[in-house]
Amino acid sequence: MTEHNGHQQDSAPELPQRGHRMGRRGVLRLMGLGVLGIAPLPILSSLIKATLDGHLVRSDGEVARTPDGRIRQWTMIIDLRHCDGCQSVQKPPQCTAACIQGHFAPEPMEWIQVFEGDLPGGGTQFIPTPCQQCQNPPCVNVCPVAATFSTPEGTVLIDQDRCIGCRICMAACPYDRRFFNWGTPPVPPEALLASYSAEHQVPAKKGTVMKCDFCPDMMRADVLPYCVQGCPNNAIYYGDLEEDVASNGKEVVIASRFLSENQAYHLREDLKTKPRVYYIPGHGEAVGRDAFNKGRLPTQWPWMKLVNGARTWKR
Amino acid sequence: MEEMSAWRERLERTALAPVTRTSWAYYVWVAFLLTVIGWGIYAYYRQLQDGLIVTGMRDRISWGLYITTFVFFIGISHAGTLISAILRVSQARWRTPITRMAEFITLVSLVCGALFVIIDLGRPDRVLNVIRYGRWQSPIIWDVLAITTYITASTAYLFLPMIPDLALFRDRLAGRVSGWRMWLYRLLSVRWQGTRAQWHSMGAAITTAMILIIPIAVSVHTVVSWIFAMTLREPWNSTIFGAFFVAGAIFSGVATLIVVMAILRKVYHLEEYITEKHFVYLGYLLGAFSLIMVYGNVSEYLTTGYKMTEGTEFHFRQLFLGQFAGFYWFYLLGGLVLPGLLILLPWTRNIWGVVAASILVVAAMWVERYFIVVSGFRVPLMPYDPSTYAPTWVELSVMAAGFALFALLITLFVKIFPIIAIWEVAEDEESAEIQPAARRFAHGSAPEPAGGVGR
Amino acid sequence: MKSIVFKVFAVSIALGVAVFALAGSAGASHVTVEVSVPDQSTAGGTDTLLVTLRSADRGVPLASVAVSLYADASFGGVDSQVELGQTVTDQSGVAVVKFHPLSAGDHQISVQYVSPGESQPEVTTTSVSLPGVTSQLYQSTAGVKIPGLNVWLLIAVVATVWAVLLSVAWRVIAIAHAGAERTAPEATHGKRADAQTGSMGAG
Repeated sequence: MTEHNGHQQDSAPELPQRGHRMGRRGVLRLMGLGVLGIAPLPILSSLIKATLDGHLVRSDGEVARTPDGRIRQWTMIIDLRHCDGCQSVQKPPQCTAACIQGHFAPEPMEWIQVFEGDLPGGGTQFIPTPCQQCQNPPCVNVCPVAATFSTPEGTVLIDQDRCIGCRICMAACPYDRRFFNWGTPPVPPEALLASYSAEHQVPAKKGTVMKCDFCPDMMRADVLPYCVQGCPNNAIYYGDLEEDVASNGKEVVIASRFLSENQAYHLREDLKTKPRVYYIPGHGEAVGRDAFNKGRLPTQWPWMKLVNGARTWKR
Repeated sequence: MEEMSAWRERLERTALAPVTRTSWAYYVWVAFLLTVIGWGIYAYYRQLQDGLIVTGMRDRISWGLYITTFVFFIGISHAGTLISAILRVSQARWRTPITRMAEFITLVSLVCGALFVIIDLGRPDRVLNVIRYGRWQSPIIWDVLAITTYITASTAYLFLPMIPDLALFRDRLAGRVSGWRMWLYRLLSVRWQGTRAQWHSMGAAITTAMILIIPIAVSVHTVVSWIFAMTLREPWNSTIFGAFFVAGAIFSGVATLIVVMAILRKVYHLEEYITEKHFVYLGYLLGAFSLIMVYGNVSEYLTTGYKMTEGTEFHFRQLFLGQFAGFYWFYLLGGLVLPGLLILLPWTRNIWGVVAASILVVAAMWVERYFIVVSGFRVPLMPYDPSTYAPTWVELSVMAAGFALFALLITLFVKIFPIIAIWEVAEDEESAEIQPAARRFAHGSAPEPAGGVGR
Repeated sequence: MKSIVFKVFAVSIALGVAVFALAGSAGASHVTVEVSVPDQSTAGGTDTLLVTLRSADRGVPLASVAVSLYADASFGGVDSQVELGQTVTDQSGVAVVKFHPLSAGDHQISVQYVSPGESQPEVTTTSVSLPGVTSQLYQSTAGVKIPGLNVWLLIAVVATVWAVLLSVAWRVIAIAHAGAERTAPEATHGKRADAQTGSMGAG
């Protein structure tokens, strides 16, 4: 009934369109497919490609190897019996200071940060905390673009050229070890001489995440990281679990023996992030610190004074 | 039949009215919204220049208003799914006048929500990295997959039932609206003539879409919640986040629908089709979901509070007694208990009561997303003093612009597309009159066609 | 006279022997130390060395002697001695020391022990050739592999959903086709018949 009328009403306007029928069909086909809307098909193709491509995400530089060709597995052992927050030298923690200077870490980033934790009974201990370089890293697990990735040596690096600044890695890290360039970070003059690499994050880039990288470029040249060198009490050992050695700049130890005989532990062991950073319990007693002697000097960023108009922010 | 055709005539006239006549108030409203959006664009420009330092976010609390509003918008996108799909599956007749609005709210809120994620990025110039280098294992990629799938499915689900109404527009509005609109109606009505074959195709497509869209919608807000629940932060480390967020999404979606419905009903004189019954029925849904939300709160806080593991004590103090106490108790009492009471008590179970309850719910659900995000970040991970977060003018401006965009898109939609599913409402009315027990979706019988109805 | 000379001679010889004995104690004194590499030396990711202690004069195996092994190590530009392990000799004077494998080649292994009857530890250093190891020893383990639970499952789910959406899109095209190709009489007739029965339709 009504349909017939409708058809008759429609037939008149339809006639002029007869000539465009092919074009109309093409548009309709496109529209039918266009129902797919904002299609994730481009994502699907590259995601499938990535799944088929079984390589590790990306390695940076050459893999560090032992003399007989095995891949190094970097580790750090921090002997808290020898850490007194640099109270004895009356300076801000020197591991942090050396790292800031060596990497030109923008204020307020402390890639290795000396926290003061409470001990049962009321005393405190100092806990230098670098990136824990987890083997089950929450940050790597959540990154949408694989900007942060695990290396064959077991460390976790960030490619600031790929990072989109979504900061889900910062939400995921349970150790508060990732830092964001909220503003334009000041660029040190020395940055002009060095090219950026994920192993040496200079210069910092606005809108990306940074953190301690375990100084892989230095260790490849058999030079101990800045924090290890900077510690006046040689409390930080850097080692290789594959060759089972570690050194604090003064002596070399067998890592497995050193860890077992001194009851080494992980931070937040229950989270099972499987960090590569171990701690030997203590409160600086080996260098004469009293557990109730609280407080350390605040960290400074002296290199920032050399850069005009360096803008900083709070953590 | 005579009253039927007069009723039908009135329905079509009401549905066509917004498209053919525009009042000055409309232009004023659009101008206001454009101003707010313009200011927000300026604020975002400042953010692009200086970086996210112009916001109040910092290392310790690294998400704030933007992610809150993102989660909120994705949440209210569940309005369309619930009303259209679930009620269609259960063949609830009363849904017919409100399905179109619900479906459109879904689409608009998804678009606005997706915008806020991009606004929150530190390097929006690299957003395509998500496509080039996306990792299946990342909750953000699950988000991208789920939201694009949901946008596509809800576009389809909005479009398909609209085809007969667009055909009506095509036939009735010739000469009364501008050329580009006629072109749009002709294009989008895909040569609808109301033939049996076409009804069959559309029916099959809608059935497929409505069944498919329910699990898609559930998956969307589940994966949004997993952006938090896949981390090790104490207040987020919960297994019920997925279910809880989906319940909250449906809850806020129904409330948003009620508010939008009340406004559009008033402005475009839809009182004959959207009656108190619709508000009361949606109010029942609102009340039911407020109970589910209370249950979710009790589940979450009783189980963690009983054990008081590390971080829980700090979180309870800040949430129930400290910084966020005002937010939390407003949400629980003003957003869950009070609306539940307004629905429960017979003398507030009317249009005013339900709309008041819905406004409270919409505000409270935004507040809930806010304290989930910010208080979750605030629990210290190592021995340091907790930080504070205070949004800046940039964040507030951009957020206001986001809400203005939401309102603007709905306002524009009303001017172009039919805001009521004309053929469904008519069909519902006719079936109630002629054959109350007539089986819907009967195969082989052609229905009362909406396209080509010429009177 | 001859007795005095004889006594002096005897004492000097005794002194000489004592001097030799004392001089030799920097090396092995009255204990011989033998460090040997057994056949299966680098099985199971550890190096094994057998340290055999015997008395120098009669070759009697020395049991229950605490033995520590040291090697030279270099790391990060620092050279020093590291302790490889410590154990006690068994009945046949053999101490089996297992330790993390050192690299292939010659190593200066120092054995430290306290001879029975002595109070100060003594150290002997010998050069030992170790076979080293070529395959990676340290395996980082994280995660549980459940067969079938991998990204392909996710890909399959997403692909299925999109295939269904594609079929919905196809229906839209079918509607457009039906609108183009239908003929008027057939549709009109159908509509009249349905209008009379007043049946409701698909929606």
